[in-house]
Amino acid sequence: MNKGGNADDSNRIDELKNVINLGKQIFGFFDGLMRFYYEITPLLGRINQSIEESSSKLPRASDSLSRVTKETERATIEILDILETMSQTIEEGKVQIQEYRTRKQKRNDTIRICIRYLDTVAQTLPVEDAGKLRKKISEITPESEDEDILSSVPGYFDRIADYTSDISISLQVQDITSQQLAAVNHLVESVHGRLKHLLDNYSGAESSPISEMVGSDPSTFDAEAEYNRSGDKQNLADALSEQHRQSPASQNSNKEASNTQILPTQAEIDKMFGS
Amino acid sequence: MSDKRVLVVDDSATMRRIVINTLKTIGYTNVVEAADGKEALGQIYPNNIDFVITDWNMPNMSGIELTKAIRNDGNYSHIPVLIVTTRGIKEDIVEALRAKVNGYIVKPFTPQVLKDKIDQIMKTTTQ
Ligand SMILES: [Mg+2]
Repeated sequence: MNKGGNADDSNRIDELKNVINLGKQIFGFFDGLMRFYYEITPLLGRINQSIEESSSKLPRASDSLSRVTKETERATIEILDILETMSQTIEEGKVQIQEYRTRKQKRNDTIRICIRYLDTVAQTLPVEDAGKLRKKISEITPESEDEDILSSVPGYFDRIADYTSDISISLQVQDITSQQLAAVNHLVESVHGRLKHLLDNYSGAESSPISEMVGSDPSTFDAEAEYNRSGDKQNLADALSEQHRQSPASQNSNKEASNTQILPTQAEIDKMFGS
Repeated sequence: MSDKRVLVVDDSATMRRIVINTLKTIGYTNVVEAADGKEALGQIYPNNIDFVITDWNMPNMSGIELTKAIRNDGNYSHIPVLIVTTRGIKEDIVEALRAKVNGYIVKPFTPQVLKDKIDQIMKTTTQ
């Protein structure tokens, strides 16, 4: 044997040792993996069962949310019915008060004519009788003190009408909350759809494509809807609309000019609102 | 009292009711309603509509799609459209203006805002 041959043999033995070591490591890894699999299988079964249970409750949750929306809408419309009746009653009340004031005015005019006539009659009477008559005349004053009270009544009616209109602004909250609920519903339906897809995959059943599992159409509600009476958003809309209106292309809207170019850029909008 | 025929479009029955009640108080009693853009398109011709007040987010056809459909129809492209929506970010407002709405109202709105917008639109579109 030569020196070179010994070195080759030693290298081969080292390689073999490495392979055996690697084999041991891989075996250890697969052994661990199998043990993990056996441990996790019953757990997966339990998770599956739990998902199945909660998933079956999701359509009920979605129905409950839809029912909340429908019932609050019905109650809101009932309130709006009452508000409308109130507004009509207020208007009728105002008409009645006006009618009363007109009739009262006519009666006062008649009384004034009578007073003038009696005054003329008093001039023809003996002094004592004329005095008595004038005393009586002074008691039938046409300018009754209740006129100022009466004239303030329509103002009260107007204020009540303003309150009813304030209530109707507040009732817009129903549309806003229904959109927020629709957003939650969409989420519930999406989660349900995806869980169902996973369960179908797990149990080997034929599952629907994932695209059919996103729940209701998100374009039918505004997930960002909020009840905000600050008027900030309206001011922004007014400012942008005004800028749009004053642009030359907008003033000539009959022409087929694209109004894309006349709208403010995002940078201009940001500058305008300091954002 | 105005003889203009107004079409109120919103998928929320509450909002339709609020808009219609407000319209009545400012003299618009000739009102037709629809629950989405598609239904609204079918109402324009038979009711000879002069003015459209529409929500944005609705099933079947949105308020923006409705506005575009009106603008693209030679017979109705002149009809003013006022959008009344919960959406109030810059991008939304710009999108609506690009779709050629004549006015933009953010919910919740006051009757005064609705009246002002209608007056303003009537003034500019009947000139
Ligand atoms: Mg809507």
